[in-house]
Amino acid sequence: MNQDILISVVAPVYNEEECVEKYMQETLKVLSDNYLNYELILVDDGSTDNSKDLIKKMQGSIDNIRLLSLSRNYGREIAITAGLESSIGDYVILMDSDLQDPSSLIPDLVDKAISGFDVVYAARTHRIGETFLKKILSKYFYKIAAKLTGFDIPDNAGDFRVFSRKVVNSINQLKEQNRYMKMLYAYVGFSSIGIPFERQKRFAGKTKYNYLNLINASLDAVISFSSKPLRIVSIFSVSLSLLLLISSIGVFFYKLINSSSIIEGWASTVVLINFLFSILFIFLAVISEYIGRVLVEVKNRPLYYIKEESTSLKLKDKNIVDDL
Amino acid sequence: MKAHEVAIIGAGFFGLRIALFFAKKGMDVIVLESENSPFLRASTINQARIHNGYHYPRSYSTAISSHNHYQRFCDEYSYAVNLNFQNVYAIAKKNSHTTSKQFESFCELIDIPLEKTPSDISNLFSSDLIESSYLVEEAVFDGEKLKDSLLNELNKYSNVEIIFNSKVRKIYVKDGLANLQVHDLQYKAEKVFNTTYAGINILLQDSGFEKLDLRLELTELAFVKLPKEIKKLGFTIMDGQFFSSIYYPTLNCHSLSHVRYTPHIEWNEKDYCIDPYNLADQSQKSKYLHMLNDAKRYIPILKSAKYLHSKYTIKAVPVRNETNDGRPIVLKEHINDRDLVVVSILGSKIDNIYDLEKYLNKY
Repeated sequence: MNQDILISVVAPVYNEEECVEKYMQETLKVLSDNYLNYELILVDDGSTDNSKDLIKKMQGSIDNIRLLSLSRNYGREIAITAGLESSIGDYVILMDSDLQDPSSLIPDLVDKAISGFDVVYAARTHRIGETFLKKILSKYFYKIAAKLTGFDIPDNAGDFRVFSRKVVNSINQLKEQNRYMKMLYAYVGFSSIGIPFERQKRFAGKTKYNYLNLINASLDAVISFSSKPLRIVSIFSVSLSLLLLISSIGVFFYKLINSSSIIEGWASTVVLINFLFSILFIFLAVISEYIGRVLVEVKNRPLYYIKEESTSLKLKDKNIVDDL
Repeated sequence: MKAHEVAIIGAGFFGLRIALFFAKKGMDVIVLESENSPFLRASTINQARIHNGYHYPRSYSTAISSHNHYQRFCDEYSYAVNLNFQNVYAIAKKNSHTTSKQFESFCELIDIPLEKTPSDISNLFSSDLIESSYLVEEAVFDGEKLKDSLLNELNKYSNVEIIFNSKVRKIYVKDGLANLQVHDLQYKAEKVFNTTYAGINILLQDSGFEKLDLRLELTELAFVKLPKEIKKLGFTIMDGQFFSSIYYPTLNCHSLSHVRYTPHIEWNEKDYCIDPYNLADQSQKSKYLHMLNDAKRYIPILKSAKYLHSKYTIKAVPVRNETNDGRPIVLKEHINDRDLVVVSILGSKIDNIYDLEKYLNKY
C-alpha cells in the first residue's frame, strides 16, 4: 500500500441517482484497498433528482467523500473544472459516475503515472453501446480537429484518465470559458500514454449527451483552439476580391469596346452588388463568431459558483454504538 | 467529609480561573480533575491562537469582544504569550466567505490594524488561489507556561485544593448540599461549577440535569516543522474550508489544522451522549496528508514541511452558533437557590474568561 501519496478521484454527477451509490461503493472499495490516503470528489452539476441526498447520506457513514454542489447546471466540462480545482491529490483521476468507467482500472492508471507519465488515459478498445453514426462522426471529428488545431487527440481516449499534480495545476491556470476539456489536456501537453480498457454499458439511466450537445462541443473545441476557419475565410475572401477586380476590369474594357450591346449600368451594378454582398456576409459571419468569443472571455466571469460544500464526517448516533 | 463552599469540576484553564476567582474571595475551593494533571485537554490541544478579532469577519460581536480581551490577556499572561513570529492572514480567491474588500472594511470598522504583506511574504502564496494577504498582530500562548503561571498564582492561596485522578460521575442534591460522586467518595459543596468542556453533557445526563445544546467533534491537530525560510511566520487562509498553520510554543513547532479535515467524527449530544474522551483516546487514522496537500497548493514552499505527529481532542460547539461562527461562552444554571448553586460553563475561546468573570460575581 502506498503510504506517501494522496489520490483524488473527481467525478461529475448529473441526475445519476440510479448509479451514484453503486459507483461510490465500488470506487471507495478500490481506493481503500489500494491506498492509505485518498478522496472522492463528486461534483453535483445541479442535479434535479436525488443524487445529492444519496451522496450526503453516504458521507455520514463513509470517510473521504467530498461533495461540491454547483449552484445550477453548468455542463460537464465546468463540473470537471470545479472538481479539478478543488482536488488535493498528488494524482488526480477523472471519471464518470455512471459506472461506464470501471473503478478497478484506477490502480493500473496510477501505477503507470507513477512510473513517469503525467497523463495516463484509459483507451477504449471498443465503444460498446454507442451507435454506428456516433462512432463514425467522432472518428471524423477528431481527424478534422487535429488538422484544424494541430493538436492530436487520440480518438479512443475518453475522459477517464489520471493526471499528475503538475498537469492539474497547469489545467487550473487556463481561464477560458469555452472549456472543451480534451483540447485543454492536449493544450497543456506533458507526457501521456494510454492503457487499453473496455468501456462498460451504462449500468442504469440514460446518457445525458445528445447529438446537439456533441455538435456544440465539437464547434467549441475547434473554434476555441484554432484560428484556421478565420484564415480559410480570409484566403477565400482575398481570392474573391481578386476575381472581383479582374471582372471589374473586364466589364470596364468590354463596355469601352462594345457599349451598345448592354443596357447602361447593368453589368457593373450586378457584378459589384453580388460580389460585395457575398464577401460582406462571409466577413460578418466570421467576425461575429470571433467577437462572440472575445466578449465571453473579456467578461472574465467566474466559471462556476459552488452552492454548498460538504465532506465526509462520520456521524455518531445510537445505531453505531458498537465501534466505541 | 466536610462540605466545601465551592467545587469545580475540571482543572482546565476555565476551571482554574474560576477557582482563583473564588479563592481571592477567601472561599474554600476544591477542584476535581479526572486526569493526573491539569490542562490536558482543550486548554492545550488546540491552536495556541489568542484571538484578536481577525478570525471572525462574519461575527462582529465575537470579533469585537476578542479584540477587547486580547490586550488584557497578553498583559496578564505576558510570561506565557509569544509574539516572536509574524502572523499572515490570506484571503482565498475562490470559495471564500469573505473577499479582500470585505475583510479590509471589517477590520477598519472594528478598528484593528491591517497591513498588506511585503512582496517576499506575498510571493509565498500561489497567485492563482490567493487574492491578497495581510500581516496582523495575533499572539500565541504557551500552554505549559500558562498552566505554570496560573498554578503559581493559585499556590498563594491555601484555601484551594486540587485533587487529581478524580472523575466526577454524578452530581446529586442531598440535605441541601450538592454531592459529587467520585469513585466511592462523595464530595459535598454549596456551589458547583461544571467546567468539563466536552464532558459537560455526559455528567449532566448522568446527574439528571437538562443537557446543553452541543455538537461535539473529534478533531485532529497536526504538528509540522516548517522549512526555515518561513519558520517565523504563521498562516491562516480565510474564510471557509481552508487551513491554518501557526506557531505552537509548547512543542516549538507549528500546528496545522484544516476546516475540512480537522473534524473526524461529529455528533449532536441531543441524540447521542457518551463520554467523548474515551473516543479521543482511541487511535485514529491521521488526515495530515490531506491537510498538507491542500496547504501546499496555496503555499508551495510547504512542500518541504515535515509532519511530526497529531493530537486528537474533542471540540464542543454550541448548536445555535454554528452558522455565524461566533464563540461566546455558554453558562447554564441548573440550580440557583440562595445557598445551592449548580452551574455548567462552556468557555469556547481562552479569552472568553473575561466575559465570564462578570457573571461569577453574582454567585
